[in-house]
Amino acid sequence: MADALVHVDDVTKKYTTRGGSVAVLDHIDLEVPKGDFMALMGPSGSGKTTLLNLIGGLDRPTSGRVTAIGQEISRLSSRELAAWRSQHVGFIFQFYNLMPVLSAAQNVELPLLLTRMNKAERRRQVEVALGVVGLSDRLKHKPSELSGGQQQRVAIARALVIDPELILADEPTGDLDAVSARDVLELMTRLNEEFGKTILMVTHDPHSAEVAKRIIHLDKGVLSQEVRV
Amino acid sequence: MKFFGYLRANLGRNRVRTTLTIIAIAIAMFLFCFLEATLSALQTGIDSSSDRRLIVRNRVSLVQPLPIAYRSKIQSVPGVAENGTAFGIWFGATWEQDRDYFFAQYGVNKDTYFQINPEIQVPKEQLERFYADRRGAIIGRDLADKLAKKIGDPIVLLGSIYPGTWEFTVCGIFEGKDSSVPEDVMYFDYDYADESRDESSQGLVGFYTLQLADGANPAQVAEAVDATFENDAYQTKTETERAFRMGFFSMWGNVTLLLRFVGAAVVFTILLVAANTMMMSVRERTNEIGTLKTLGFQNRTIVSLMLFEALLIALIGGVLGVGLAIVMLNDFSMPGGLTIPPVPPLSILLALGITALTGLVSGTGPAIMASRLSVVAAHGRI
Repeated sequence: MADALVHVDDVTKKYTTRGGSVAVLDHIDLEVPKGDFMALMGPSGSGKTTLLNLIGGLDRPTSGRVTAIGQEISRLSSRELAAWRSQHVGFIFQFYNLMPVLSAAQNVELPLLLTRMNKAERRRQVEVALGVVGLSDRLKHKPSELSGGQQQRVAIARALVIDPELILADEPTGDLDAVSARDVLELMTRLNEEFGKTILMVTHDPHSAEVAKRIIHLDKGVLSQEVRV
Repeated sequence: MKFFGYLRANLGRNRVRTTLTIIAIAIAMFLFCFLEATLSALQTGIDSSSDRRLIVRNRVSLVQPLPIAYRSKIQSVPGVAENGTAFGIWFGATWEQDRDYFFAQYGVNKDTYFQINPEIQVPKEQLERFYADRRGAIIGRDLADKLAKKIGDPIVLLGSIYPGTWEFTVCGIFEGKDSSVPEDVMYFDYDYADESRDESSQGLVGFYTLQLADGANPAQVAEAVDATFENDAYQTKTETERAFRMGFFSMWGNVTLLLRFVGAAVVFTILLVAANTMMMSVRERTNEIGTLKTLGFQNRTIVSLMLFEALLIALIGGVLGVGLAIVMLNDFSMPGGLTIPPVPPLSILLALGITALTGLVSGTGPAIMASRLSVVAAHGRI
């Protein structure tokens, strides 16, 4: 696929344990087209998070090649990977992973601290990002002063603020009630449709997966099924 | 600078722990400055002494007296300058208005004492006034300031070695030739104290100071003085003023080594406390460090943040401790008479340097720990 944003070519990932070597991913091939919203489903231990880690440049494959946003990231050094992540990938976590001592605005500003933006520019970007997720009035609130849904929206704003081509979300609704989960999914759909962000979302929840354009099933380290929604 | 907000927020993460660590470092640095100032006080006493003056004392002990009659014999020893002998007693009284405030008082002979000790600079007219007043006293500038006394004011002391209530009049205020000369000392007429004693105790002095003639060899003169009294009831021990003062301090043992050992132990202990605090702080933040790495923070940035945080905590504590020492040890007087001078500038720099080093060393372990943390391990999962 020529305009694919992510290419996973014959990737194997093995972990060495006391009991020996365990292949979590076994010769995986995957392409994520630009502008896609893909849901990655599968049972616990199937390798979903490992695959997400490899695509996000948080881990390296044992063999095979991962290319994302025109860069073969499986060849980059740790330092290069960090720089690459800071410029191209937004991450959304199940438990939000916000800094509890920082306000919503400061949390969203964190990725911008790695750029050359001055304070005024960073502030403007933060306000825009928090505006997109509907939290313009919560700039100074600490995470503990926000609901779970609001915290996840701050996390989405943090992922969005660097204007990444790729957003990786790991169970973004896993810790939310139904209403908040729906809001977050609507927001992610908007990011995909309105802002053109390519999203790869890991989820257990079939209802959540339905908002995606494609659903991939991963089982025992092997991509088993692809459903176009 | 753009990370300052993050650093500041982290300092407030566990306010009690941060505050306690800062207090611990502040106390350590205060103690360090106190020890340094004490060492400086001891060293100042040695520095102000001269190699061209000899001290003659009782061979048995410093507290044993010598007869005043020795003066003429000492004066006749070859190598002693003309009119080159002076003597004095340790008075050891307390100030009536504040018995806890102690300062040194010496009863000295009026005729030569201030000529032989020119580093004690007294204006001529004040010296003449002192000569004319039997109860006259000459006090140092620092002492005058502390007691709030000026020329003509009375000073009342309560005697212990010389019992009774002693009234003096300030006739002069001296200033040291340089900062090594202690100015918290009082001198008065030896005769005033001596006359108060019963006849059997009169005519005894605590020490002699003698000025060497030009070209005289200190060791030879000292030997000659001691030989003069070798067969007398009161045998002498003569040494240079510097050797005398060093020997005086050595009676406490190796004070310098002891104080430096205590200082090092304090700093090392605080280093462990600070390092432990930083370790706990990093362990608590494993997930957050993982998140920072996920967002693209380089290891070197995370190491810098950790080190700066540790440095900031240490420096806040250090500046507080040093500041407190500067304010509190401004001519602080210890029970027993040793006046602690202001903390020497070099010691302030040393304290701040040690503080910074403590911060950096205590932050290094946690920073390395944080930098080695793998993102996947930090989160368990992203």
